[in-house]
Amino acid sequence: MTAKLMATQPIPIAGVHHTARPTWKLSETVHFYRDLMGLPLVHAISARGWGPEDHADFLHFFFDSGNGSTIAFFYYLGTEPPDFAQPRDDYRYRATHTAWRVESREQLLACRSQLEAVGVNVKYQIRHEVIESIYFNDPNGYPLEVTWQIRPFEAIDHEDAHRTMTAAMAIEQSGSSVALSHIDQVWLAKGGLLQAQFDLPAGDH
Amino acid sequence: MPSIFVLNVLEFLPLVEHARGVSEWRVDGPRAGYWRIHHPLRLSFERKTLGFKPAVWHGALTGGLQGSITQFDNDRLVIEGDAP
Repeated sequence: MTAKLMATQPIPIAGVHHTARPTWKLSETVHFYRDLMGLPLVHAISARGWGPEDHADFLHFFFDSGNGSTIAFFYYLGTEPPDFAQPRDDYRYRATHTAWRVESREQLLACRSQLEAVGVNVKYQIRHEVIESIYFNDPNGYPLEVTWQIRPFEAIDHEDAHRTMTAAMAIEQSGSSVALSHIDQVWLAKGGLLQAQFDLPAGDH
Repeated sequence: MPSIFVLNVLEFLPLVEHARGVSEWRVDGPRAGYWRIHHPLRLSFERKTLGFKPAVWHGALTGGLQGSITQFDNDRLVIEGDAP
């Protein structure tokens, strides 16, 4: 494998400023985020299209989602949504989503109650390994999540993530495009490495 | 020998606690942040016995594995023998 360029230090970012997506439902979107979720509308740009010649005039507007973060939308005047912007009932579509943080389970349950009180359909509440989340959609069909993290990520989690991803990437890079096709492959590769750790004499690990 | 490796964090510890209660099974560790649960022939787990919600259950082997998974559905996990 050829040597890869690597950062000598992390780029100096400090959290999310905004994520953005297009909408063709202007009033419904503002109503949902500002009125139903209660996120303040904090910034809006209205502009003639610029850049590419066919760029539509647009509105670009932002809702405050806490800790300096915002969720933003583009509304392209006089356009129709392209096929690639149509929401789909597919887990691969839902993989692209926004998850906001709350600080406790009580706050998570309060979010659920408040959303349901204004008619938002909370579709799921799921306990994962380290987080518990509620899931719902905005009027555009975009998947949204509110989550609380039960414990902080620690060194043991970082090291485990490194082991898992190293094992998975080694399989991916080992051969054909379907080389990594079953999660058992990753578990076995990782297990093999850990077995070697346990085979070492006590004190050598 | 079927073995599973369990990251030594709160959410996966029911696997270790369960294994300690099965006299024929061995629990080693933790080493390098993992417990090892093993038996010469077979390990089996029931989701409801562990108290695992589905998301955690389906990632219960994320720590690593030695052996062959002969059953892994919504309620039951069985690991036997060595991987082919």
